Amino acid sequence: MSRSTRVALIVAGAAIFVTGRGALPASAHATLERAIPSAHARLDRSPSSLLLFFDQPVALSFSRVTVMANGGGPDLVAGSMSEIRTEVLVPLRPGSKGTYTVRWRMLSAGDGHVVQGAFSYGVGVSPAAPAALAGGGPPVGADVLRWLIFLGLAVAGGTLLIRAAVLRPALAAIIGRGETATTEWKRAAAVALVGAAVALHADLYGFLTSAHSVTGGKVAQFADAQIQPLRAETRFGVAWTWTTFLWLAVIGLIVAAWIGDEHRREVLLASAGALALAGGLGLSTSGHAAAASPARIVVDFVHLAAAALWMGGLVELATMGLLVRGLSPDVRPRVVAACLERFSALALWLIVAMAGAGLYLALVQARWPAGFETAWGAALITKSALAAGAIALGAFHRWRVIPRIRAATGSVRAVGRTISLEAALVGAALLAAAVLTNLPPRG
Amino acid sequence: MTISGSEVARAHWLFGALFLVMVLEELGPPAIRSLSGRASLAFPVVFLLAGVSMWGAAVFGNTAIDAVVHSLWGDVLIAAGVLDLQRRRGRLHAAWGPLVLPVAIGLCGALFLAHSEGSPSKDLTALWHVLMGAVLVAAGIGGVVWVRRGHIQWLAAYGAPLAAFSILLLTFPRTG
Repeated sequence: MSRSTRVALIVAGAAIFVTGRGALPASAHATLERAIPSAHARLDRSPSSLLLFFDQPVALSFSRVTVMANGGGPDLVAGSMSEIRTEVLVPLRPGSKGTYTVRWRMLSAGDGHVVQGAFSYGVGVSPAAPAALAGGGPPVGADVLRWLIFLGLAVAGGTLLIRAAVLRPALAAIIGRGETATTEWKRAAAVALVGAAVALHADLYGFLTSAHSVTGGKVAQFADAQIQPLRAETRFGVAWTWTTFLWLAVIGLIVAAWIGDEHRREVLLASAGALALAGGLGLSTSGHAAAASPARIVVDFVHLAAAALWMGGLVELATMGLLVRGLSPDVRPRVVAACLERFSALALWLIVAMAGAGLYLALVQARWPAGFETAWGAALITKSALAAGAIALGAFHRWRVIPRIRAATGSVRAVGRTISLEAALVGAALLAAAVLTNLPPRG
Repeated sequence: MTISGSEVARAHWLFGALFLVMVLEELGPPAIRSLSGRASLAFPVVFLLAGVSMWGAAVFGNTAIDAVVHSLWGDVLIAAGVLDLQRRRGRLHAAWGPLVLPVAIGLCGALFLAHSEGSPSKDLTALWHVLMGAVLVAAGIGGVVWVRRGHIQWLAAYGAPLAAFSILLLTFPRTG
């Protein structure tokens, strides 16, 4: 093991450890810190206003507050809300004796996430629990949609770029460029096309899910909801707009490579890969990092891009069986070993970049130790554990499998299975990451 | 920012004029000569471009149903455009190849009907959408019949509803 390899491993290991153990909630979603009247307060008289204190600015145009008696009755909110920095003032009409439920739904001005909650106070009585919301509930599938975007990014961007930079040169060195160019590109183009199409659609339905969480109500009623202001005036809406056109361009380039001239094919596919990877900027500019600083957006993008390239490379290697099937038995192990070796060397640095960026994000966003007890903290630990498992499997490939194949004592088919397992672990880590991005950091 | 009724109408008129030209370009030669003379790539290319512009309409649409239906239109048009382009270039030899465009047109008609059913608008434009959906479904069925029978006499079953669709686009009412 070379010195640089050892250093890279130590950095990656430390990053995984700290990300998993020491990582804390990112303070990105707007969070209600306190209210006047406060939750569970018992008041002698009905208040003339409600004051909500958030930890960061909210966009009032897309925010809503209702104050209703638990037994039913009109909304006590008497007019438009106003804000001073992070405080929101809600004028109220007087109400009679009883328990009142305050239900608020706010759009974080920074990261574009919708946060909502409810609490109750009592007028002349000890307050009961907040009333349930009929027909409400969290949007279905937001995590899955985000996961599909991650996968699309990895499968479209990662596979094409890793193929261009790593696998094709490795193949060409052994079996010649002319032979590799025959049908191998069709497999890569088809995989990338599926990835781009999945990301395009998941992006659309992800945006609609976010819009639904703002408008609320039943899904059938949502068909009529005006989404245009959300698209134009929120960060996640703007990000969705340009990533949609970006995914269309990616699909256009792949289609052009498919139907176009042979000599431009590789340039078009590599360009599609680069463009697809740039789609990650849409996620970084509308996620938690966007609420902080441009530097954090860049770090977040590095984190995402490195993970996408790692996953994309694994997908390429896992589907390589289709390619080597047509080769002679004596060439097959050499091709597999060469591709694995080249990718493994790059993957090491991708993991270092990914883990380093993750470590940085965790350190700058963390507030020890509150996050561990939340769902956000649990998702972070799960993600880190899955990533660590995949890294261990990657190390196994690099230092055990490649030498065995080179010595003709290892099975090529078995490598395909363990690479698929590594890809499945990274895919599961991406699912945990998707859950993480949709959770409020402080529960 | 929302898209005004006159902007919507203008987009429909422009698309109607383009579509009419394409229908004439597509169906004119076989009407005059024979089915074998049909090899122009313009029609599938327009399908591709229309598919991309439908995704644009999905992004800039006013309501959620606009976004969903326009995106599905985009999918159908892009997929049909790519497949038919490959067929006309001699790279797709499947028996179902000639049916791709008629089926895609029929699917677009069905989506028109779904759009008008789900749309909040119940004015004259909604009626136009129903009519446009109906003629596209008719064109899809007519196109399938034309391709299956392979006789020039059935061309009208395909061409007449497509021409009617163009005219409906050109006369799309301006509201708001």
